[in-house]
Order: sequence, then C-alpha cells, then structure tokens
Amino acid sequence: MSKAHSFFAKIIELWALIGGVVLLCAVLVTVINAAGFSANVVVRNFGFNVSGLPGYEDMVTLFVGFSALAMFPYCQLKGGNIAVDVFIKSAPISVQWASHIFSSLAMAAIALFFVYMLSLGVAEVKSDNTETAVLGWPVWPFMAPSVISCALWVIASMMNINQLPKTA
Amino acid sequence: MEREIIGLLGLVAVFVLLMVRVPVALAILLTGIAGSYAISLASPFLKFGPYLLQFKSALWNNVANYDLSVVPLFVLMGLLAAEGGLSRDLFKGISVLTRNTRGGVAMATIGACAGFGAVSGSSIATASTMSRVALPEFERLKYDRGFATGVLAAGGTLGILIPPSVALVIYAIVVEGSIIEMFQAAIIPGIMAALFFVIVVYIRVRRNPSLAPPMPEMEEAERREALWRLIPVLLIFGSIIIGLGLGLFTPTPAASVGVALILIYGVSLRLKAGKGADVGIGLSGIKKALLDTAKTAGMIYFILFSADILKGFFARSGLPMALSDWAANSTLEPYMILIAMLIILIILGCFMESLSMILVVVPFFWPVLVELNGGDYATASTAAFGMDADDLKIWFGILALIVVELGLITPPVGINVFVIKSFSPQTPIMTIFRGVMPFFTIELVRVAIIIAVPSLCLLLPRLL
Repeated sequence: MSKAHSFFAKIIELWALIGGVVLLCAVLVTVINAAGFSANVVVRNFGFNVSGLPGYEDMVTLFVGFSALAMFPYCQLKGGNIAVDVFIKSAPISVQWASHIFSSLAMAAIALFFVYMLSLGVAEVKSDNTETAVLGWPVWPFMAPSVISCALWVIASMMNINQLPKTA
Repeated sequence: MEREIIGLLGLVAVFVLLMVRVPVALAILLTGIAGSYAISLASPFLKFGPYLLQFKSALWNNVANYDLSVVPLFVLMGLLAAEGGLSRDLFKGISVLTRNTRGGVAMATIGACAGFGAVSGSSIATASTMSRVALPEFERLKYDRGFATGVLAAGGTLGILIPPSVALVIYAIVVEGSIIEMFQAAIIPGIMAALFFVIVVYIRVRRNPSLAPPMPEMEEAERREALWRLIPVLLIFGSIIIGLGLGLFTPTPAASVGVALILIYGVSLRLKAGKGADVGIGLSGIKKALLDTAKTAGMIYFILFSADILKGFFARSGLPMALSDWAANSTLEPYMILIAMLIILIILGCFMESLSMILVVVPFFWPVLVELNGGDYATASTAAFGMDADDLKIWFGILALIVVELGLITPPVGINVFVIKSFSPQTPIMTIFRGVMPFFTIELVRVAIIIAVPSLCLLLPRLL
C-alpha cells in the first residue's frame, strides 16, 4: 500500500470516527431529553417540574446530518455500498474490470458534483442566515463539513480503482 | 418519445446496471439524473437546469432529517450489542432454558435470532452474528450440519419483522405511513414466525432424533451464570421492543436509550472484568462499532437519497400514475395481482438487498394496489381487499417485508445461505438449502395465513 493511500485511509477513518462521536452526542441529547420527560412524569405528582431539553430535535437533526455525510467516504473505502454479485461472477474478467472502473469513476464524478453543489448550497444557506426552527442555530457550520465529506468521498472512490471488489 | 416510455427504459436501466455490479445506490442515482435529463429533452417545459439546482441542498436535507436519525442509531445499537457479547449471552441463556428439550440449541438459536434480529434490524447481520455464536455450539454437540445451518439461515430472516427494524422504518417512509403503527403491526407476524420455526425444529427432531443429539448436563454454576447474564439482556431488549410496540417511545428516543443502555452495560461489564478481558465493551469495541456503523449507515443513507432522486424521475415520467390508471381500469382479480407482486418480490429478493428492493419496487406496487383496492378514499365495506388505504398500507408492508426476506433463503442465490456458508465452509451449499427448505415452506404457510387473516397485522395498531 502506498504512503498516500495509507495516509488518506487514515484520514477517512478519522473523519468517520468524528462522525461517530457526533452521533453519540445526538444519543446523549436524546437521552437527556427522554430522562427529563420521564423524571417529570414522577415529580409532577409532587408539584415539581422537570423539562426536557428544548430544541433537542434541532440538535439531533444537525448532528446526524453531519455524522451521516462523514460516513460516506468510509463506506466507499470499505466497499460498503452494496452491489449485486450474482451475475457478474460468471462474466469474463474484462467485463468485471470494465464494470468496476465505470462504477469507481462514476462514483467519483458524482461525489465531485456534490462537492461543487454543496459548496454553492453552503454559501446560499450562510448568506440567507438559515437557522434551525427552535434553537435558532445557524445551519451552515454543520453543513459546511459536508463539502469535506464529499471531497474525501471522491478520494475514497479512486483509492480502490485498481482492485476488483470481492464477490460473495 | 413518450415520458412513460422513458420511465420504463429507466426501470430497465436500473436492473441492467445492477446486473453488471454497479453499486445499488449509484445505479439508481445515475438513472434518476440521466432519466430526468432525457425527460427534459422530451418535454421542454420540464427544464433540466432548475432540476440540477436542487442538488445544492438535496443531499444535506436528505441526511439532516430527524425521522431518519433512527437509521444510524438502530445500526449502532445492533453493532454495540454484538460487540458487547449480548447476542452470545442471549443465546447461552435461552440454551439453558431449552436444554431439556431435544433440539433445544436449535430452538435457542431461533429465540436468540429473534431477539438479536429485533435489535440489529438486519437479516444478514443477524445471520452472521448468530453464526459466530451458535455454530461452534452446534459443532460441539454434533448437530446435523444441514439442519444447523438451515436453522441459522432461516433464523436470520426474523430480524426484518420484529420491531425495531430498519426495513419497517424505510417502508413506512416510502409509503408515508406511521413508523410506530408498522412496528405494532409487525409484532404478531414476527412472533408467529419465531413460533413456526420452533415448531419446524420440534417436528424435524422428533421425526429424526439424530439431527440433534441430546445436550450434556451443564454444571450448576455455568447454568446460573448464563441465566444471570440473560436478565440484563432481556431487560434491555425487552424494554426497547415493548416500549416501541406499545407506542411508549418514538423511534429516535428508543434507539438512543437502547444505545446508551447497551453502552453502559457493556462498559460496566468490561470494567468489572478488568482491562483486556473478553467480555463487555472496551474502547476498541466502541471504535469498531462506530466504524461499522459508518459502513452500514453510510450505505443506507446513500441508497435512501438515491431512491429519492429516482422517485423524482419516475414521478416526472408519469409511469407510476400510468400503472395505477391501468390498474384502475383493469378487470384483473386484486388478490391475483397481490400474489403476483409477492412472487416478484421473492424472486428479486434472491439477488437484491431488501432495502433497495423496498425503495425501488414498492413505489410502483403501492399505487397499483391502492387503485385495485378502490382508490385512496375506499372504505372497508367497498374496498377490494376489505380495508381502507391506511390498513392496506400496513398489511401490504408486512407481507412485502416477509417475502423480501424469504428471498434471502430462496435457492439458488439466497444471500443468507451464502453468509452461513462463509462461516461453515465445510458444509456444501446444497446441504444448507436442503436444511432451509422446511423453514421456507412454513414461511409460505405464514404468508398465506396473513393474506387470509389481515387482522393479524391490523389488530395491534387498532388496539394500541
């Protein structure tokens, strides 16, 4: 494995892990909210009040949005995007290679397209001052990393181009 | 060219791309975009430029979606459960309970598949996780290999139906139904499946006791330990399943609480056992679960997004509307069409992944069924299937998901069978298929019963 390959593989893995940690943050805020509501069911009988976490749905939405896109490059790198193996297995090796190269290039092109479109989207959301409904948090800081995710997705698509995927 | 013809060609293109091993999400995304371009050429008022501009925010809007947040959370919950050895504890605990019954380990496998499958929500994940846990035990007890691997392949299919299930969430989103109602509707058919499988095991072992040699006596301490470890697993799995089934939680809090409970339990087990022990969840286990979640959830999100783009293309082509118009004016027997749809799903399930099938095929079938039933506003007394569109949504969803999973164990290419084969390379594939056949047959009986008695699906959503 070349140094560049191993470097990008580590970056992509780290990015996915950051996404995973942010997903755990979504778990945390949801659990705090659920605990607040559950506690309220008990303490309201004694005249007390415990509130949930206001706007937790906004937080979950933003956290999961970031997290989901951070997963795309790792999924691509690890061959997680499922494909139908059944027919290609018995095809000539040249057909298998043609299909694999087409898929890798098309995936990279799609990811590159999203780098461009999401850059425009982030700029638009920032200039419009788009905010979440309850918390009023600006959306663009959470959306902007999606451009990095898609750029890593382009790299991940090209990293395994010289290697035929394993069939079941 | 007529827009409907372009839609039809698009459908053909999806299947051609799938056959040459283009990843499912990419195949449907490319078709969606290229098809929309072709439609813009055929119908100049459907311009392609403004269509492309939606991609500035479409991907973000698709993933930053509260309803879909259950997807990575359920995936993470299942992976943490496997990482923390909860599947092993579940299997061992139930094995203790069934140890005095001939074939008890096979029955315990089905019970553990049902429990773990509910949490993992994926048939393939269930089949592979339970293979790792149960196959060594089957080998140790000298169970017949065809029988043992058949039990595992069939048991793996239980994951899709018993709530919480990612497939049920996706189906509910596709048909714009209630996720909670789908969960409630799946409870009775899911329990039926597990019970029917246990009955198959019982009958097979009774007729041929050599399939399942008796279990040797367990030591008291081992038994007590297994039962003790079963309690927290049942409490965690049970609270999630019952809470969702009864509508006490909505899906995202349920999945988050599930993740938190499993993490707390797994980490405390590890802390108690000491660093480097093989029980519970350590840091490396959490890292592995997060990365595996990235691989699985990334794939699901990409398919969901692509399916949305494909759906947009088909809507522009007018093909689903043309099909539903055809259905409304046809004199075909609605039940025959329903059965034909289920057969198509079984055949497609042999080589397609269940989520992709739900996303690609159900949007075509659903409007046809609604029209055959008498339209969106048909009442139970006038409808062809004897139920309104909301109930039809639930009933068809359960039937569709059962047959989609049936495809996973259908010869010649049932994917679950190949998963089991990878864990038991010495067992010939035909032996596994032969082992699966009795379960396949009883599944067909279950489908027939649910077609004949829709209340099995509709009772709980009405009551709860």
